[in-house]
Order: sequence, then C-alpha cells, then structure tokens
Amino acid sequence: MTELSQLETDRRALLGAAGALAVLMMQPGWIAVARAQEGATRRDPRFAFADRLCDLTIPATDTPGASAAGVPAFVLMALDEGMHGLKPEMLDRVMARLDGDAQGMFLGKSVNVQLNLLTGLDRAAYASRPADPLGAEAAWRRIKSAIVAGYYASEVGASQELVYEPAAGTSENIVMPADYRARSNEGHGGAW
Amino acid sequence: MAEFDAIVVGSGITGGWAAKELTERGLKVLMIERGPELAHIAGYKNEWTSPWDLPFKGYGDPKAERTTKRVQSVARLNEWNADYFVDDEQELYETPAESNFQWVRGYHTGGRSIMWGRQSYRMAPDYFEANVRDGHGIDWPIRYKDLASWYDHVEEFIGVNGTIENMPILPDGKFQPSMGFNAGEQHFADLIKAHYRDRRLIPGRTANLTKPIGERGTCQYRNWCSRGCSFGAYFSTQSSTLPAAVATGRLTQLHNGIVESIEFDPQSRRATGVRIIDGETGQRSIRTARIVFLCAGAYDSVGILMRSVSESCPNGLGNSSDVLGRYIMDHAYKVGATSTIPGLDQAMYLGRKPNQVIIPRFVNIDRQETDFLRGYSFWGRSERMNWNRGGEIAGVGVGFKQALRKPGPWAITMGTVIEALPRRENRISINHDKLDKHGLPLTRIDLRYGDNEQKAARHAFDELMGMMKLLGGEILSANREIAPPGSSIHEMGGACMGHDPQASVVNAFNQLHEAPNLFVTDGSVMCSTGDRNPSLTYMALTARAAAAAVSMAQEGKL
Ligand SMILES: Cc1cc2nc3c(=O)[nH]c(=O)nc-3n(C[C@H](O)[C@H](O)[C@H](O)COP(=O)(O)OP(=O)(O)OC[C@H]3O[C@@H](n4cnc5c(N)ncnc54)[C@H](O)[C@@H]3O)c2cc1C
Ligand code: SF4
Repeated sequence: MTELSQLETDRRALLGAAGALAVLMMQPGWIAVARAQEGATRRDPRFAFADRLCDLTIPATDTPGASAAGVPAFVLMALDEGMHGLKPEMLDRVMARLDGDAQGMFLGKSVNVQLNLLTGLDRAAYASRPADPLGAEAAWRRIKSAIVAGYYASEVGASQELVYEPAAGTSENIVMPADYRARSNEGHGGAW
Repeated sequence: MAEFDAIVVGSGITGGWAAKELTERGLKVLMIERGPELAHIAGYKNEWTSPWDLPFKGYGDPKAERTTKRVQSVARLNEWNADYFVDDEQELYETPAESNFQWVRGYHTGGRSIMWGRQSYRMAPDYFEANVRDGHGIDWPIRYKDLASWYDHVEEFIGVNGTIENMPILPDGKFQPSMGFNAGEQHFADLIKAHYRDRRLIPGRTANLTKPIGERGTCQYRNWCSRGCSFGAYFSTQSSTLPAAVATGRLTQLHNGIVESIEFDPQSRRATGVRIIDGETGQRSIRTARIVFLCAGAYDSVGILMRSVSESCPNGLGNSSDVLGRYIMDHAYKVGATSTIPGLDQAMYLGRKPNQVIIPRFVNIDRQETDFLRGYSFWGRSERMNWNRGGEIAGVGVGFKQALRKPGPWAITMGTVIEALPRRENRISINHDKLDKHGLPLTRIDLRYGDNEQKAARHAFDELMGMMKLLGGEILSANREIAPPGSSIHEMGGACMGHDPQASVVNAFNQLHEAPNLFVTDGSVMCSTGDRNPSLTYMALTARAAAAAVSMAQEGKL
C-alpha cells in the first residue's frame, strides 16, 4: 500500500510538472502562432461548408457541437493530409450533390432545409454500401467519419460531451446505469 | 585483461534479463544499446497527452504512415507511441517482393519491451518435440522440463496475471490474480463450453500487475501501455529488469553503440568483445569482456554474427555449418473476424482492461487429424462498440449525438496465431553491396509461408466462423488472408539451438558451438514457433543461460 501511495504522489507530481510545462508553452508567441493558423483555416474558402456539415452532424445541445469544438479545421486538415484515405475532392463531391439537391446553393438555405438535405444524403449513403466508391455518398461516409473522429478527440467532445477518463483505476463488470455516459478514451487513436 | 566480465548486446526484453541475471550473480556487465536512452517515466513524453493536444488528434501522421513508418505501421502504431518505432527510411533492410517481410523494431533503451502487447504464455511440452516427431526443422536440444523452473522464475519477477486451467497444451504458471472476463467474453466462453468438448475460451495471460511488486504499482486499467507506464504496472526493461540490474551497482550502460560484429580469437576460439560504431559520430571502437550475451533481437543478432567475418570465419561467426540465418519463422497472422454479440444490452464494464482472451490450440492434440501439421490458437477481445461507430451508422443531428453518448452493441474480434513450420530455405543473408547509413551491409530477410500455413489458415477460419455463429450476431468483418510475414512481430529462428554443431548454431545452453563464451539468447535460437506469443520463452531461455554462464565461468569452463 505504501508503495502505491508513493506512486500516486509521484504521478501527481508528474502531472503537476506537465501542467506547468503547458502553461509555459502558452506564452504570447505561441498563442499568436496558433491564432494565425486558425485564421488561415477560417479564410479557406471550404471552411464555411465544412463548418455547416460539422454542426449539422453534431450540433450544439447541452454541450457545444462540432463547430465550436474546432472540428471543421480538423476535417480540412484530414482531407488535405490524406488521413485514412480522405481526399480533398471528396468535399467537392458532397458539396456538388447537396447544391444539386438544394437546386441552388446549399449554404444559402435555412438550417432546417440543410438538415433535411443532409439527412437525405446520409440515408442514401448508409442504406447500402455505396456502389460508386468515388461518388458523393461514399465521400459523405468518409467525411462523416472524420467529423465524428475529430469531435470525440476534441476537448469538448472527449471531456464535455463524453467522459474523459485517463486512468479508470479499476476493472469491473457492472449493470449499465440509466445515466451512464460513454468514456471517450475507448475510441481514441482507433481506426475510423 | 578484459574490461568487463560480460557484455550484453541490446537492452530489450532479453538484454534486460541478461543484464539483471548476470549482475545479480556478481558479474560486472556492460550493456550496449544501439539507440538513445529512453528513461523510465521521464522518457514517456506522451503518456498523459490528451488527443486534442496532438497534431493529428491521436490518429497519426498520414505522411509518416506512407514514408518513415510505412513498415512499422503494421504494429499498433499511433500518434502517442510512433516515436518508439524505428524510422523505416533510416534503418534499412532488404526483403524480396515474394516475402515482403515486415520488420518491426524499436531502437532505444528497452527495445520493444516498451511497446509489446505483454501476452505471456509457456510453450507446451509437446511443442519441444514437434520437430523431431514430424521431421521439420532442428530437434530442440531441450524439453519443457528444462525450462519449467525458469518460466516460474520469470513469471514471478515480471508479474503475469492468469487463470489456472490444467490444460496440457497450455501449461499453467505462477500467476497473479487474473483480469478475468467482461460480459461479452464470458458469454462467448459459455457458448463455446456448451457446444464443444475440445476447446475452451480463457482469459489472456498478460504481464500487467494486478498486485504490486516492489516499486511497481498495480494496473490502472488505461489500456495505453505502449505509451510507457509511469506506474511501472507492466513489464518492460525500464520498469523491471533495468532497475534490478542497476541496483547491484555492477551495471554500466552504453547508448548509441551499434554493435557491428563480434571480436573473435581463432586460437582460443573465444569471443573477446565487440566492435562498435558510435551512432552519433560514426567512430569505431572495441569493448572487451570474458563473456558476450547477444540479445539484439532475433534478426539483428543473426546480422551481427553474419557480419563477424574473419579469415577463420569467412561466412560469419557460427556459420561453418551454413545453418546461421536459416529456419527463420514468424507466426502466420491476421486471419480472423468480428461479430456483434446480441442480448447483453445492460452489461457494461468500468476500466479498460489491457488484456485479451484466448482459445488455446485444439487441433492435432493427441493424433494427426487435419491435412496440415501442428496447429493454431485464437486470441481476441470483446468490447462494447464506442463512438467510433458513428462513421458506420446512419444519422445526423441531435438524435445522432445523443445515441453516441451511450456505448454501442457488444462485439468480439478473434484472430489466429498459426504455427509456421521451420524451413531451411527461409533465411537471412547479408547484402555486402549495399550499406546502411551506419556503413553496415544490409540484412536481407526472405521468409515465405507454405502450403501448411495456408491450409491451417483455412481450417482456422472455418472453425472461427462456426464458433461465431453461436453468438447469433452480425459478422462485421472477416479476413481469410494471412498477412505478410513479420506482421505478428514474433520473428524467430536464424541461430537455432541443437545438439549437432553441424546442424545448428547454439547448444542447449545457448552457447555458440563455435565460441562457447558467446551466448545467443533471443528469439533467434528458437527451433519452432508453437502457436503463441514467444517472449516469455525468450526470457526463460535468457535467465537459464545466464545462470549457466556464471556457473561455467566459476568452474573455469569458459
Ligand atoms: C506492438 C508489439 C506487440 C508485441 N506483443 C507481444 C506480446 O504480446 N507477447 C510477446 O511475447 N511478444 C510480443 N511482441 C514481441 C516482443 O516485443 C519481442 O519478442 C521481444 O521484444 C524480443 O525481445 P528481444 O530482446 O529479443 O528484442 P528487443 O526487445 O527488440 O530488443 C533488442 C534491443 O537490441 C538493440 N539492438 C539491436 N541491434 C543492435 C546492435 N547491433 N547493437 C546494439 N544494440 C542493438 C535494439 O535497439 C533493442 O533495444 C510484440 C512486439 C511489438 C512491437
Ligand atoms: S493499462 Fe495498466 S499497465 Fe498499461 S499503462 Fe495503464 S496502468 Fe500501466
């Protein structure tokens, strides 16, 4: 027991040290760089569309949605970097499809109309495995996966919407209580 | 006069064990590691990093997956642990396209003991006899009884949790309390028990502590062990063997020292030390000792012996029989499937158990009953699906978000570990025409699976499907194809043990036939693979060889 308590203390000391380092890193210069990057992403012409897709998919409820969690920037990065087979043109395909379905600019429609249009595409995409691997339905599945992955790996999604539990400290089989909230850690770093 | 009593090459799972056992028995030891220092706790930079603080949110740098980590990605590589795996563009090797061997490595203190999966099983007594029985490979010069007490010794020190099962095919050990089953695993185990008399699903045996040992605390159920563990709750060189060796005051560590070759005196027929390249400056030097333990990881150890060329050993040290580099093996891997498990909606768990379940081998136990030799086992784990399923199911908006607040359906994934037959033509060689960045000729690995592994894979797949049908769930994915060799990261052979110096490389105590004070104790000495994770056996072999080396030295036999 004594050894364990000692280890716990060491761990806390370690966490304290990590916290101190984080504060040090958040010096004005660091913040300026981060803000500049965020600004560049926001000026990306695709940002508004990615932002809408994110918030329609995971909207703000009693916790912030995907947009406030910074997911649009993650999705654009994932497309540009080719994460998990994503390709930049996938976003174009989804946009073309939604603009077509909207008979005009999807982004110009009301939120309700947008939600209906996206729900239509989503239903078609998941009704069966899309026949055309390069089509809008297949592209939407990939982008939606990226939105989900980005949200639950964000601080908001991981620790406000779900429970972020670095060290459970126990392994037990339980009957799931009605108010049980999933642990975000379980999916982190996994495939999507 | 030698500088040290013993030199240990490599600080991974076997090097750490050699250093501990030799220093604890009174020897002054130099442990040489080719990579940089990776300190316990302080070195685990990403242990507590949250995904949102990582550049790719924990999903990994896709460019690195295509370039510097292209091969390493076959392991459980992620953004937290990627730095522990070698840079594929720097640490080169060759493999013909027909083999496509995937060589997963970690060059730093602790080697792959930091990233390993910790599954720890004894070989069955029968596995030491398989070669002589069916005529494949070299007969093991030892039997299970020679290793039994060393398995005990290792298990008690590293801390393996498991259950007593009384199955001859999977000898029990000295276990800590098991991590047990969750509801999904228990359900599958019950179904298998009710439908089959020849097999059993049991909890995995893993080197994670369920009870503290000395300074090492108990597992906190995070299931992110490959980041490193500041609780010391899983076995690694850093958490376990290195502190023990350091505590003796007899260990000297040298980092960034790439052992190029063994120094060999043809008159006395003894190893006198090692030749090293400094990984930072490129300078060469020689370190001397009375005993050398080669623990660089199976294929690196073979490479070192092959590069130890001299007038008396033109084809490498220990290779006058032309057996060095031959009979390399790796479990055939990745045949498996995932099924949902209906009917357990209210069952949940707390904590992330860093363990799996297994179905030990059940084919060809007492008699040959299949069209392939030997057998396979299954490993796997069950969990409730997490938020990741969001990308696989229909839905957008508030309802979708609410649904992902709850755990998803239960699912279980099972895969096979198939024994690979030892074949003489599967071999390592050295390409002297191509040098790596350190100036070392490249290691060439040519390992191909044969008909036996393919037949076993088909059999295993069909059996797995039969068992999964019992669940009455949906098969979410299934794979019949064996992955390229190396994918199981259980590479073995190349310096096989044996009685006959003309047909093997080391003897029953891991001594090179051609230089008895040189002990090779990693996976290169394995004569067959069995069908289970092998590192516990490497540790037992190393501890046994170290004890023998010290006794022989004391008796003046080295
Ligand atoms: C992701 C992963 C999961 C695994 N899971 C399991 C599991 O569950 N169970 C299991 O039994 N096994 C598992 N393994 C395999 C296990 O890690 C290896 O079998 C084990 O580490 C081998 O021990 P070793 O000492 O021979 O080699 P290593 O642990 O690789 O250590 C070799 C050391 O030697 C050093 N070295 C190499 N060449 C030289 C040189 N020329 N000069 C000086 N130093 C050198 C290396 O830098 C390294 O530090 C896993 C491996 C990985 C990567
Ligand atoms: S799961 Fe256990 S052993 Fe693994 S890192 Fe966490 S505390 Fe350590």
